[in-house]
Amino acid sequence: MKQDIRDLFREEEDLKTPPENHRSEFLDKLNQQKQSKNKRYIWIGAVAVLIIALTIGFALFSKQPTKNISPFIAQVEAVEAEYLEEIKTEWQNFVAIADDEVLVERFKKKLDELDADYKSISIQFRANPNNIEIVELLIDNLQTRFQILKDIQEHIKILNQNNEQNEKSI
Amino acid sequence: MKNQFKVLLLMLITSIALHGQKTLDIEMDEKHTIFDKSFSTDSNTILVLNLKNTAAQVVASKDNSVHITYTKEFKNTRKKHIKRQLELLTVSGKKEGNKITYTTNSKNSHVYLNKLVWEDMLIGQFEKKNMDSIPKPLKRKSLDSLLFEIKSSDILYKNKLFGALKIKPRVKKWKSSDQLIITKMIIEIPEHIHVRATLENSNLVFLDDFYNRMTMNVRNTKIKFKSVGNPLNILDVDNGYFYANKIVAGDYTFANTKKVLIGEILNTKINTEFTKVEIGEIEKNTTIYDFNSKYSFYNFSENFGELKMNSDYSEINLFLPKQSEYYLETIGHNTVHFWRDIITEIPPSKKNVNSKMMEIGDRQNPNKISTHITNGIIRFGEDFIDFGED
Repeated sequence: MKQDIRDLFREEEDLKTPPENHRSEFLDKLNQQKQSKNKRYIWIGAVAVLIIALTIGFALFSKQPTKNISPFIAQVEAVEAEYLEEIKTEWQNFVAIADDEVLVERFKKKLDELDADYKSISIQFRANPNNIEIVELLIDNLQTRFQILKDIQEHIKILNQNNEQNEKSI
Repeated sequence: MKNQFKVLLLMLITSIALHGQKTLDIEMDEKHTIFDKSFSTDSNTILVLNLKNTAAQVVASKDNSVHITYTKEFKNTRKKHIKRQLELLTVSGKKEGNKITYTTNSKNSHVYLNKLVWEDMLIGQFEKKNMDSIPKPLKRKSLDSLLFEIKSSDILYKNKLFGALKIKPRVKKWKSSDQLIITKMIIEIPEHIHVRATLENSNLVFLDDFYNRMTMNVRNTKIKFKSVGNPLNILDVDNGYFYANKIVAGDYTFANTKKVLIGEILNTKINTEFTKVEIGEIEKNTTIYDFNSKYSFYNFSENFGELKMNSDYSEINLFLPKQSEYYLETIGHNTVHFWRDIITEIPPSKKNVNSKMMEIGDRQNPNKISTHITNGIIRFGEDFIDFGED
């Protein structure tokens, strides 16, 4: 049975006439869809923030606490550490060759005094690291300790050398 | 890049030289008077000075009053920086009865340096310590050359810094755009008053001869005199540097003092430990007590009277008197004598008993060098002392 296709389209058009409240229904549906999408985004955001926070927190707390010191103070500390190590070595060398207890005791007292001085100057330095005079005092103090230990060893060496020569000639 | 910082250091060091100069042909932008007061005095007045982190100059007062002026001048300096500089100063001065007290402290440095300059400087200083232990032959210094060394001590100190930094000194051309801060503290003291001073981390220069009675406690300070002395003087120096053209009397103690340079000395008692001392000329009667210091005696006057020395673990370099005959004796034990090319060792006695170790000349001679020394090293020389003991 043949049918005119144009009639068919006319019928369809009649069927598809929108109801009177189609606009308000459409807007309601649209609003519902928006709300559900927003809720989803909030959840995703919250989870993301939580993950980031946990990551940062873990990174911070998993590390050892570090001192926040300036590179200059670190530089001075490095020089200081090197000097103190050398002073310690020179002290051990001195004690090993000195056979005069009074002399060792006197040096110990002097070095303790200089060490106490150094601690006091160090506090000033940390409060005021760019002060030329304070850095000079620090260096002077370390140099003095190092130098008096070197000098006394040289002194003892000269005394002992000549004693040995005397013993040989006798 | 490092060179840039060295140039900066040169500029800053040049600014130290400007510090405290009497005349300067630079027009400054601002001048701040921090303290300016005069105090009348009489023969019973005591001036108490408490100076901390301070550079000052002392001159003789033209009247009977103590005058203290303290100014700071600025050029091309930001207002904020000037404010900060002034805030860090603490100054007070008052007179109560016969006592004038002047106290000052500066929390800021005279010169601030760029951090990286300091890195260079620290490294330089650190390297330098190894160079100091190399023995060098010692030449007899004339009194004039030692006085010149005292006069030039600031320049020599700067040269030491240059040396540590391995840079050549050069004259800096002043540019009108350069930042400059000049600090001047002048203390005028009349000649009859007693001065009691406590100096810490400071730099004090006496521009005139100073014969007032003084009682001073000096720590980590550079102190410089022309002629100084009073039989009642008591001066106690711990660390730092001491320079004097001439000491005519008093009692002086030096501990760990990096450098003690004395031109001429007479009628003085010195106590030292762990100190380096150079004396241009023993003029008359000097007594020294020492533990573990290094002494150099370069010259003796024609009638030097007596140099007495009591020491333990000392190192003494003594250039023999040229202007007169003398009597020399050393008493003690366990001491090495270097007499020209002859080395004599007096070994330790079993009971640490002192004995005469060396005797030269006629005992009746009024010019005597008398040393009581244990565990010491004495080198005698005419014009030259060689340290090549090995």
